[in-house]
Amino acid sequence: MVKTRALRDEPAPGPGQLVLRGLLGDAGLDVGDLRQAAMLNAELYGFYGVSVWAADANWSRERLEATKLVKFERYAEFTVAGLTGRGLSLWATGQRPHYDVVDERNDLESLVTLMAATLYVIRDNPSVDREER
Amino acid sequence: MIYIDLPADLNLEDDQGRNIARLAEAVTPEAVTAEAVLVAGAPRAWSWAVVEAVEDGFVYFRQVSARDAAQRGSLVAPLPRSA
Repeated sequence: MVKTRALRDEPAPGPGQLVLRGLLGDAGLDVGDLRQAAMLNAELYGFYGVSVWAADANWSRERLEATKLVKFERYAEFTVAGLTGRGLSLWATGQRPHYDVVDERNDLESLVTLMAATLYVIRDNPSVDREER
Repeated sequence: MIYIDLPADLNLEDDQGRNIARLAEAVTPEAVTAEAVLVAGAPRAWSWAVVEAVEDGFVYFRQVSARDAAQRGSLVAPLPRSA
């Protein structure tokens, strides 16, 4: 059963704000990972969305690296302008600073293709927590 | 190499701040029950986790430290069963 996703009532992030997404594997921003993420979101909430974290005054890059991204060795860094310039939108979903990158047409392949084609930088996470099992 | 019990994208959080994964993708789905301690994530991004709920084929869990995980039970996972 599809759940209703909470949308936060807050101003849209500014064009210069950083948008970060932890990388799951060695292949950088993998299209397959993006597609899987968007499909899971659709199963849960009824729309294709890719989870990201937006940095702002309260959630600096350093804070995100040490909290939401702490388990990720590397992450992809976008800007809001880069994503919206490709026609994508950022929905303020769940709890701050979580967002979903969406294609307003709810087209899976457009979302994945456009997001992968957006300019981004791969960053090492200096705060990564490498717990041993 | 890390042995992942529950493949998951740790970027995804629900409205309560919990991570989510598909139950069907767990190595041993029947072992994924509320309060179970397991390793969730991907080879390059994983965490110890405690399952909060299993609903409608999805697993809702929270990341915990290795110390927290150890306090909740054995950290030695059973070997996966062959098909």
